[in-house]
Amino acid sequence: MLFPTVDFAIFFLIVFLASWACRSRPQFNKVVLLIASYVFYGWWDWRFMLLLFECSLVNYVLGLWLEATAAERSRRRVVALAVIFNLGVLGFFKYCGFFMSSMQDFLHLFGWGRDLKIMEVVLPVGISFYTFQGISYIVDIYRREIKAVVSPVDMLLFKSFFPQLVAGPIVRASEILPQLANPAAGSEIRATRAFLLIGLGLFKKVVIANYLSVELVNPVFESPSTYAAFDLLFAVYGYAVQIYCDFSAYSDIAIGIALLFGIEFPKNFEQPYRADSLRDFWHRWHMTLSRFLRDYLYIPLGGSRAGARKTYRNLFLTMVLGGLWHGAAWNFVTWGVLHGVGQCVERWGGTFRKARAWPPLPHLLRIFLVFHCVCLAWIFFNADSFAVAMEYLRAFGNGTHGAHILTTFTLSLLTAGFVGQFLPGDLLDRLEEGAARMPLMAQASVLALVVVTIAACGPGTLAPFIYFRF
Amino acid sequence: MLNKRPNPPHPRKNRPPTYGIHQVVCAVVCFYVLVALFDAHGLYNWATRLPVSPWALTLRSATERHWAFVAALGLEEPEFTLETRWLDFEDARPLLYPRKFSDMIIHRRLRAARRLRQAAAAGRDPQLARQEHAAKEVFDGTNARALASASGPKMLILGDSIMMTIGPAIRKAVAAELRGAAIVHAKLGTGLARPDIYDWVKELRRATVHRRFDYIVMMLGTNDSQDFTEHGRILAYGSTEWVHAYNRRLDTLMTVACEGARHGIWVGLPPMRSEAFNRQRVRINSWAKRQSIRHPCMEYVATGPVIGDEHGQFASYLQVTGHLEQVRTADGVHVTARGGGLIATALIDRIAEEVGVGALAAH
Repeated sequence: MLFPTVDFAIFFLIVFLASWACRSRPQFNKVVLLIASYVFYGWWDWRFMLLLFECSLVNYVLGLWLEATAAERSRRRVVALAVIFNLGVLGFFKYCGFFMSSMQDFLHLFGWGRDLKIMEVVLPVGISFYTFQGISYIVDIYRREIKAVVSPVDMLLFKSFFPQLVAGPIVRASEILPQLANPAAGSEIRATRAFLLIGLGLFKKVVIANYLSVELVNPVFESPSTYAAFDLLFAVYGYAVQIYCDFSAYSDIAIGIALLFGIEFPKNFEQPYRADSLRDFWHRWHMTLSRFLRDYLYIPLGGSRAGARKTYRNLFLTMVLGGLWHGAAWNFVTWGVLHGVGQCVERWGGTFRKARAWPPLPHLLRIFLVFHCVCLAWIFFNADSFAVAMEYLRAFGNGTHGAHILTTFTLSLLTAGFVGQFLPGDLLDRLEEGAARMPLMAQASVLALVVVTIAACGPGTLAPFIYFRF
Repeated sequence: MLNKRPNPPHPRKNRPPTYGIHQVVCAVVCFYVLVALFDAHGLYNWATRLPVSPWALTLRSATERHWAFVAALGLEEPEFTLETRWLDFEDARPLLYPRKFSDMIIHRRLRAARRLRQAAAAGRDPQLARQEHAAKEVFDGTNARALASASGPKMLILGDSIMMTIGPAIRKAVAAELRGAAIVHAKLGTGLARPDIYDWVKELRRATVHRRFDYIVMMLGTNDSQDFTEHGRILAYGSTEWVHAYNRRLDTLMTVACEGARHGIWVGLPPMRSEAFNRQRVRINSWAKRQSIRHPCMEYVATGPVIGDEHGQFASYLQVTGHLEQVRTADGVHVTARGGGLIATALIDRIAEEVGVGALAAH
């Protein structure tokens, strides 16, 4: 069930009205949301519901066990068990084929060719998100930042709450559980913000991301060698805008829908292409993943406090594992390597420059360079395989020979995508304050007109969100 | 990346506006009512795409009545105007096209606008007009240019979502190996079961009315294991009547293909991971194969031996030139770009073997 569909609109209306009807009984309301979340997830494949339930239950039990354990050594064992369980689930469903095929290639390299049996494993939607949520829950209890959840309904709902279930934001227990426990949460709803986010998200996904994908990005990435260098360049720019509009649209809609239920999710994007360093880019892109990697991987590895060499190692490893989290393929690993190396070089360059008291590069030039580094990495991210990415890079040698694909229409979409990156950062807050001067019914009417306009402009068929496959 | 930011970038001065749940419920209901009024044909369109059942037919007829009511009030006019303007914008001339193509593109835009106006005058579904517009796109512009300049065989490739990966691979192989050109027309979620959603026979007729191809390659059936209606009656999937009707549709499509091309190739559906789905695939393939035999110009090509394991059964990974490569996507239905490449190679080898590469090159 995709957000910008009639199916979801009907589903949401039913759930929203049911939740409203149960407003006086918070516990019952949670059960309604829980059932709705499982229906939403089971819409893809009912078997996925069992896995989600099992993951939630195991984390729930381990959380209680950890809470009840006093000895530090035993506590560590419980955490290790939880991490092994969550990563085991993720590894089995997501990486089994990748590791087996890589192992087979490795054996072939040394002449020890074996036909290893590859298991046919279905990849459950959103597994990367809810297994990470499970790890963060257990580690936060271990660090005594939160208490273990006693109510199984709260735990099941925390893991399955439908707006964020399949593609984030990766919310922490400390962010969502207090809101679920607060029965007054429904009396102060930021509806204006929710409407703005939903409208903006629909526009970014249905109009910008979808058209760019169909009319510019997909044809070029399918067969890069037949296109001219300009088309290749604009297709990468197109993908940069497409993936931002696609993923941030999901986050915006998810945050907006959660707001209508009185629950606030953390922000996930903040105009990433105006970043003037790769470090800054990761402060602005998929922010909830960045902070997960920072808090549960980079800092436990030693962060930046164990000397320069170890800092470089930690940065590099964190980014490579971040790449692998996105997908079980060498092109994702390369994407992570490029970001890891880029950040190490950037850090080293900064130290070098400061030591010689050189002035920094002009701000706009830095934004330009960072954007193009990110675009280089996007080629590997979007290509079907490492070989296709290399073919793409080689095709830049085509010069002006080959097909031409850029149109006024696609250029307008690209421009719209880029202009959005350089608008004032607090524009949404200002719009919220401005729109709140209208009565709420008028705001809903404006949103309805925006949705009708988007429906008129959107393509006939809708592609799934890119991050669903992660 | 990984250090905490010192401060939030834009601290808020005022408390954000909030509302009570009753107000929000009223606003949400108002939103739904307005969307249902101003996008009635979108609702109808959604109802027509539901799997066929008595309930879905009732819903379809209800949304149709609702649409007619809304149209009588003139409420669909704003959306229709918007859509027409948007199509004009979408149709804008490619920036980097050489000059000689610009005229062609302008003509195409005018034709598209005229067609939409005609649709509006005739009171037809603008969505249908939009689909026609989209189909027309396939056979114009870049594709027409590629066909005109190709010295080798000209090919039309039709299919559902699986063809979205295989089609471009075939197109690439045709250009590289046979110096030909191919047009790929793949449409998500379509097949022969639901001509009310997308009518492949009509599309094929439209594509071949002014142009004869050397090859028409087709792969359909992935979405066809469902009930459908014929002459107003619901035919249950798998019933004798359903099988006869489906075979008639296959026969019609192949007849049209033979009229529009020298050779038709029906590419069988690849093995599926789900056992139930795989059984359905086997049945559809067997009907397609039987119908292919009845049409002298048609040939059936099975994909199981190409993209399946040693027994022709489903395999996500295959040994390709010493490497284990992923040939199927995670859903167990679609093929990866590598898998599409394998099918394309097999197909091109078959064509080259039959006709002779030299003959094709001189074509």
